[in-house]
Amino acid sequence: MKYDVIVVGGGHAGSEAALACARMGHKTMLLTILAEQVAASSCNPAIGGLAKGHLVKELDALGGEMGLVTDRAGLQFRILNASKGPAVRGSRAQIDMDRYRIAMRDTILHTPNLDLCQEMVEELLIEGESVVGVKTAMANEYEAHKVIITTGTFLDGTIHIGEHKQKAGRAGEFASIGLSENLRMLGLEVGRLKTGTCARVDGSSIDFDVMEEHPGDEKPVAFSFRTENFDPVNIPCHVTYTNEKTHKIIESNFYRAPLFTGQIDSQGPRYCPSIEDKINRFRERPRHQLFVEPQTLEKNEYYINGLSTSLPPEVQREMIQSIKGMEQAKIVRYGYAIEYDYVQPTELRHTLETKKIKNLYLAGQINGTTGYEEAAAQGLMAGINAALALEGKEPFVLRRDEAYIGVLIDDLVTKGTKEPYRMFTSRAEFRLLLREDNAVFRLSRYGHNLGLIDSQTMERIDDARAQINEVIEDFKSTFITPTKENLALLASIGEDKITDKVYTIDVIGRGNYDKAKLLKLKPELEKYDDFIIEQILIEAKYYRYIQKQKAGVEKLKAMMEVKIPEDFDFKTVSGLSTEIIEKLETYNPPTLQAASRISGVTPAALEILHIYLKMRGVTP
Amino acid sequence: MTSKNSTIAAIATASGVASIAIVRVSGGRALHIARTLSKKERFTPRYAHLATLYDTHDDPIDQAIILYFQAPLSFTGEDVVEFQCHGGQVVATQVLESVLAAGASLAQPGEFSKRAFLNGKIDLSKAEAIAKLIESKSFDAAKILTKQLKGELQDFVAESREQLLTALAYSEVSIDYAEEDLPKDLKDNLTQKLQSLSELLEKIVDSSRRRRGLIEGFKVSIIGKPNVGKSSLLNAMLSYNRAIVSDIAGTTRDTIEEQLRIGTHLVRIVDTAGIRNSEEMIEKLGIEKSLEAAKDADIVLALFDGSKPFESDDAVIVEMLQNTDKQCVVAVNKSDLPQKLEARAIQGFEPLFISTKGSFSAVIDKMQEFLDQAGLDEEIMLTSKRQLDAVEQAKEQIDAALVPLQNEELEFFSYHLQQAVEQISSISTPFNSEEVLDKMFGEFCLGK
Repeated sequence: MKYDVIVVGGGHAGSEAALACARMGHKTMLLTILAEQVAASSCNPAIGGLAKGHLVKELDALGGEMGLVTDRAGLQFRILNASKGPAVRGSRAQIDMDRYRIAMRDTILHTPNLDLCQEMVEELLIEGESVVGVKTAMANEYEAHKVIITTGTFLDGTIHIGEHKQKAGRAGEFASIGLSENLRMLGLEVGRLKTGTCARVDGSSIDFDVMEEHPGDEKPVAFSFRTENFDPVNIPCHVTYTNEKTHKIIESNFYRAPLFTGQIDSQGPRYCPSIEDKINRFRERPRHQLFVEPQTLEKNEYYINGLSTSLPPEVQREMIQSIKGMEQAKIVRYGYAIEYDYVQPTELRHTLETKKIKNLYLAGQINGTTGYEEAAAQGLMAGINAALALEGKEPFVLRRDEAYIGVLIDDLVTKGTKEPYRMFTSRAEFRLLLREDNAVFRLSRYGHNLGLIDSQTMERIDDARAQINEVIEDFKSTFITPTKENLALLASIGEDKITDKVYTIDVIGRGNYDKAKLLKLKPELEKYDDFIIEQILIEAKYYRYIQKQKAGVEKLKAMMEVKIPEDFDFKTVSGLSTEIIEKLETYNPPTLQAASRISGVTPAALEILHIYLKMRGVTP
Repeated sequence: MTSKNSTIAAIATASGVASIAIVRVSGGRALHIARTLSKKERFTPRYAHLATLYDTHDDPIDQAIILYFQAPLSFTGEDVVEFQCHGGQVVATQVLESVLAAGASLAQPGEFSKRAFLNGKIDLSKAEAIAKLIESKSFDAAKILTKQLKGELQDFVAESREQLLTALAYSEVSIDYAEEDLPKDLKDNLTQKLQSLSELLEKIVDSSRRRRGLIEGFKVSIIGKPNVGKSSLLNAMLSYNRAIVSDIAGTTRDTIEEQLRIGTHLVRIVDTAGIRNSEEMIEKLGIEKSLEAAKDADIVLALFDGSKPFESDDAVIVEMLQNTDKQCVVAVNKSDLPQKLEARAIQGFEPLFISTKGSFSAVIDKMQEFLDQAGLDEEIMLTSKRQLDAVEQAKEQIDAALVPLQNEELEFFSYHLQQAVEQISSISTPFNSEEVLDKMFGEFCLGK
């Protein structure tokens, strides 16, 4: 059986990778341990959130699937930080995790060029320095030009619940042990990480009346620009809190916590700690907030967000029953911690292809990340790059000033990671440029050129862009003068008066404008729809800052254009490692930009090189 | 790491007659060079080894102490060897030549410090301090720069940076953990902290500006009407104690700068043109020129002619003295001639009565008094324009950040704060965004 691309693992990364390759016209096979569990939500029943919402919107703009499926399977939709600025707003949806995976599986099964088969891959078939296929546990061999591995937490996974230990990739599912050994044998740097999840509670045993209700937004906004007739349900979450009693129960069982007994010694995510870790590190906190989230439309099972734990089952029960509203709680599934193998992502190029083995791509949690969204984004990028390579085309790499996806992959492959990597808006140095609201404008052209965004959608986006540009250009070139009428008008909408003539864009940008105020000041904008008006307001507000950030981008580019003399002796640069010097000597890059593209040349090395080039010839 | 770099060498001690001279060698071949010159094989790091040094013809040069500092535990972070040989140019030069013959290249000025910086052994503020220390011309400068070298400025930067990073982390947590129940008094807390940091930075910039004379030399401007004896006083003071450095041409053809030392201080006297060349020229330039020169002086030395009545030019000077916030020394010259000046007009300034032909030391004493006071301030001192600019811009960014904070526009607040961190960091250590994350997770209980 011969395929263009084989994707190993049907989680969020694998689904996107497989769909992208097939949609770009390549014969693709998705192999996964349990077909039932394609795109399953191993952890919480939610998609998006801060920075993660950005990733989903970008994924959607490029033609990925996650946003569309979320819109179909959503239980409630909210915009976080709605009161803060647009750059730091994040869309989040609670999802029906059953409907989500079924919708994704249906999409996969209905996609031309894409096969799905329930098989466990045990071994990579290697010829020379290239992967040429895979061999499964049933001893089936599949040949392929490209192999993308997206195995999540399944590589040599070990589950911990109290003293109980078990080999598993997810509760109740086989771990992938052969493949992990195989990757080590091939010389990839393999490390070990830890993550965890909470107990799931029977909905009928929870007293919601004593908890705070958290519904979704009244006017929900779809994730995908391509979703039509969006009219989702709005099922509430509930908020409750741990208390002193809960903390006492946990504390008195520290001696049984795998995290503290030495049973687990790999690094977990600092930003998603287990409850025992939180109690241990922040003893002075009287309570911790918990979100009680429905897992499906039927509301049979609830996810207790904030209570991730690997304490023994009876401690989990006692601790949950000490919480307000859960005195009678029945646990359906216990929380657990899982340790798994990951490949240090510095083994990868920006295309997510491994440096050591040609045609082998890795995406998702195997690269040390955590989160469905981070996984899906990598899956899409690995899929696109595998497809482009098959076509003999240039790789598709997003820059840090273009997309969170660019930041994510650049961070991973240049810095590596020692703890599960999660996206944060603070990781994006050009945060003001990279907003959810402008993701389609930033990225859809790429998606269209790749063949993942259809022409009709592209036209719609171009049309919107043109309308916005027209108004913004006008705002940039016209003034508002302090005439009697204008001053009266500004006063009537409660905005600061002006004392001099001011660019329209600055009047609107500095003030506190909404649609109604804008239309009073500029009645001619009445013809535009809400989306366009919103975008105009945002761009005016950010205009001056965006100018500054763009100048920052240019400055960085200017640095990258610094020339390296042809006869430059890299050996004379103190502070560079022998390995980096050898690479620089091999490629002899003409500029810092070119040097930055050489794998293994770190940002720190570039900085040293830059300082050195600047100081060269100048007496310090 | 160091094996691939070229090895550099230089005579580290000043030229001139002294009992010992030091030749310093840094780089991967340093130890090899020590072995070649001494014919000794074993060198224990940080031990003094007595050895005879040989030149390329195997002729003995000198008996010397050899110190070996093994990388990275050395000033440059590379292997370093120091030859402490007998003093005098001849021996040291011979040793250096043998070192070069054995495979080292001659160090560029400042290259040892540069390597120390590039290898992360010292930060930029220390590197700057070293460079300036070597050039410093007064004890004041040396004292301040030594403090900087000890890391006082680095510590201050680290503290300010820490405060800004904490504020930034608060903001980032509020952004990235929108749903977490965080302390409610964040805004007030941050506003207060940042305001006081901003005030502190401003104070440091101001006092550094005020005291920049400690490093560059204090600027003194002599003002007074034509023929009051400005040039005579200057010449008298120069013969009293001329500074090491001779005349430096001013920025325009009209001014000349002279340097002299008063006590431990370096003083630069800016003089209007042609003082020593042609007395006539001064007549033409008049009083405006000398007032102009006084504008960026640290001390104004106002001179009046005791042998002539008070006139309108003197009134201009008095007016300037009344309105300036600079330190002023007021002197009445020509005390050896019959006095016609009505003292009443300048009485408030506690004038000193001098004669450039006789006693003028009162002027010098008074200036020293002012200069000693300036040196007393123990506050952090920014010693270069780069440092001043960085702190000033950091302050501006902090102030800019406070505006959006009031409206809880945290993304703008963070933007300005990040700029502030980058500015303040540029003084010593580059900023790395991972630090904010470390802070976030160190300070808050986050995540579900």
